[in-house]
Amino acid sequence: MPEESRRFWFVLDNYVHVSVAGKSVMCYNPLNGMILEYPDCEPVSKLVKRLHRPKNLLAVSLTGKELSNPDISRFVREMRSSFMGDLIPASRTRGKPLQMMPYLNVQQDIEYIKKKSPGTVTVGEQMMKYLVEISIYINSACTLDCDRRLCGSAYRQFLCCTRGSGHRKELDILSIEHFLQQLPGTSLARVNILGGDIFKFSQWDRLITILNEPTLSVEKNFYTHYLNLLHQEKKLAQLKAGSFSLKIVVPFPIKKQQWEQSIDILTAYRPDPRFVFIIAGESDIAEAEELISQYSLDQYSLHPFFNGENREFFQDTVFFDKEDLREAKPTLTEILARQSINPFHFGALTVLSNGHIHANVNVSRLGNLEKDSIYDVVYKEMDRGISWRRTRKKIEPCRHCTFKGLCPPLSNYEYALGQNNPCNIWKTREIEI
Amino acid sequence: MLFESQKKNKYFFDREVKSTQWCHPVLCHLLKLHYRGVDVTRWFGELNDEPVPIDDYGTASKPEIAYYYQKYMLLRDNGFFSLPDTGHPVNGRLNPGQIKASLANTRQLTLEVVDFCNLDCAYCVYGKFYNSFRREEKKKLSIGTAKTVLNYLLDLLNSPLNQSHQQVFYIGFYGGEPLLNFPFIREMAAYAGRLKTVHNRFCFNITTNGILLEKYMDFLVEHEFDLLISLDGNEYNNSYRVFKDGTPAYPEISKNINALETKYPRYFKEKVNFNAVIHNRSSVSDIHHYFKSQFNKVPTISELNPGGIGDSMREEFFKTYANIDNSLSQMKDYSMVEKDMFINLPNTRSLNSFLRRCSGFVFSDYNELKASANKTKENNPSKKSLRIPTGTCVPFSRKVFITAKGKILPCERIGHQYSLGTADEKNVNLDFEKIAGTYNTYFDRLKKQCGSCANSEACSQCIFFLDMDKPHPQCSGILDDDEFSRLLSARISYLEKNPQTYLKIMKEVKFA
Repeated sequence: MPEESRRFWFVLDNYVHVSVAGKSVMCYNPLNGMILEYPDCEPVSKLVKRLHRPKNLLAVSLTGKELSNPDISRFVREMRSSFMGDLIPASRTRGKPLQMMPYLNVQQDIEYIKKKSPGTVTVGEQMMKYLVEISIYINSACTLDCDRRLCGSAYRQFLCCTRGSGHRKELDILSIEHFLQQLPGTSLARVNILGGDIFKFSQWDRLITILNEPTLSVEKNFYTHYLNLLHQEKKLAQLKAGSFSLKIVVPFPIKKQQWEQSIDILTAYRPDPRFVFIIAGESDIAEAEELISQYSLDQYSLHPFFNGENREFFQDTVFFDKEDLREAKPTLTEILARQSINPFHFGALTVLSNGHIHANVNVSRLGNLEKDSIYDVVYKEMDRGISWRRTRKKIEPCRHCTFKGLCPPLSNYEYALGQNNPCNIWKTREIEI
Repeated sequence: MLFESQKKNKYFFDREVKSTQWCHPVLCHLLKLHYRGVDVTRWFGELNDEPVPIDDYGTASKPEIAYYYQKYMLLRDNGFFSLPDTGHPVNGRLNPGQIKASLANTRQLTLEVVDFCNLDCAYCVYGKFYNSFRREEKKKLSIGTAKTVLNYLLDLLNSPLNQSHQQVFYIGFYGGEPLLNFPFIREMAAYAGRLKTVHNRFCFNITTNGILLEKYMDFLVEHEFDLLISLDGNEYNNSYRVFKDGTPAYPEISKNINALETKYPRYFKEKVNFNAVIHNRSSVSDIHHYFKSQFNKVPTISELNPGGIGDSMREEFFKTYANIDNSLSQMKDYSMVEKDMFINLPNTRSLNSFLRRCSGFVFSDYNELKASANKTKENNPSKKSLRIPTGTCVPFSRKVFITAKGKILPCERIGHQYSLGTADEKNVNLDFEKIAGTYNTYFDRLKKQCGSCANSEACSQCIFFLDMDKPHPQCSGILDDDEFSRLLSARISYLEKNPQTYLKIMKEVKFA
């Protein structure tokens, strides 16, 4: 026990993420994934708030007397032992140290621009550089008889084909061409082409020519249901020649005979497709694993699908808890980024087969392919920020939770589930520090 | 890199992780070994139970050292201390496409309306002190050339290369004294008003000495010009600004400004700003007090440009010269000045530059933030983009400057010998390939120096202020590791004395 009159500097490391909620504190060390919680502990919450005062910059003086408080003593000891903070006798220094405490400063911060409107800089300043991904549903025509819930809502959870609900059967090729011609100033990295059944698109050859333009040198992915592959050898050959990627959507249960025919076609024409397995329950996982093993599939992904009746499956497989967060071990920069933007959605646009353009298909449209320029659409999303800048900091109940910084960004599953917090994590009201 | 503050607190800056941390003296001891190339694990393994002497701390026991050894290993395993502490390669190049895109995204076209003036200020860059700038030749920029340039730019601004939307594009009128050719300004404003823009909105700005302000103010107000008036302060402060016959200009300028404020008080409040040059007849305190009390304005303050001074004028120039830092340090209490001028103070700018580079919490935009989050996750330094040597802007990224003779420059502050192209009444001659080649040749001549500079990542040195027309241009701002360590120490020492400045900068300083 230190003498009561001795003075120490207690210094918190600035790679540590700290969250205070009322009298509760959570500290997370991104270097080792360690999470320490101090629920309803006033001495610790007061100390942490003191540390974060602008004049203190994560370093405060503690006396031996203060350190004799059991809560403070435990906190300081645990911070040290988990490499989140340190204690040094003031007598061994010549003055108070400091840490540059974590505070995100994005120079072209949109909220700042909107609030302060600093003269010449506007929301539209260099905004097109943020556009990185476009998904275009070229048509809605499809003769398959998929489960209505699957066809009608899977595309709202992840990239997947759909007949949609619009009346339009397919997009006008000139509109697509004009849309893509507006992109040279962007940072576009990926274009996804989806349907309906993409192979029924009446202007297929023209579409391939447009996408093959050298000015559009980005990753291009075509999505198709495996049953729609049959008899499409010629078009598959075109895709291969154009170095496009093919994503094969596979819902369960599969139709064995047609699956095998599809595999034969793929083996002949596309040796490297990626399979998108749609998983609605444990049995689907088992079936997917069997296919992966039996056909030696090496490129695949499993996408949980919420069909309205499998909440329990989601609770078991998708909902996250503290252990998941510890394992995910987000970095401090990731945590800071998630406070400002939604990394899942930022920079992505979707065009539906009725021409409506969305930043997220679960949110109202930003414009229409035929009526609006892509500039107007991006400007609108930059300004309103409903999708690209939708963070847990802004929504209920997450904004009150100490773990919101560690949780994954909001995805489309939250919309499907009607629940912003698909988690099993204790929550409490937060007071910003 | 290790460094210590004036209070002898120890810190380390990690170039790769981009982080600056306070460092316990025992950890500091281990880092010193690390940077000396000692195998710290082996050193620790061979340690006996004797206490180890630690600089500025006393001694450390083996258990104490064991704790900091574990902390050192944790940091090291997370990418800290991975780079050698020397060598700062800068191998970036410009390509023609970048320059064209930069032009399509430029924010301003500044026109040197005339290269002559109705004043004869003692310190004018076209005046007696300087030999690097050309003398005025009574040239006027032709309206045809200006229109041709604007049309050329408009094609690019309206193209998909423009990343911005609903963005202001300034047409700036500069001189000499631009109001000496008012018909040019009136015609250009009318012409711009007739052009169709897709992504931009034209606005106008003008820099004037104020002598003709009353005569033309109705027009400037009607067209909502952003107005920057050059005025150094009160009558004495302003006494270097004189007419050709040596008569002080202050009374005339002051009368005109008052007329503007009286007739158009709202415009004056919203659109009028001042720039004052500091010299031996003024101080930051004088300037701040004058503008605050007279016009309730906070001016920008500029120093005289010490580059390109003729040898015979050196002594007289430096008698005239004054610097903002010195002037501030002579004030007993500059809290009011600091409050009003915070962002424009040299200390704020230096600290901001330091925080951008060394805190790890400042990002230029959302793309950099996203990329940085991915990079730290993947811990993949190879994804780092290549930096170009010096702190030179990509040409035209801020503005395009057209001289009265039709030379095209990326900025009005650059010597006209560095023009990147020409314009006349019919054509704009810009060869992006050639411009990229010119820049890359300059970069090649400097990259070795930049590679040896520990501060190259925070460099703001413009290549055109380095006498590139001489055979061996030399940057005077190169810092070796010791000098860089002293720079870090100065910045962190300032923060230790003024900790509240940290969050104030992080919250308020943007678009730097």
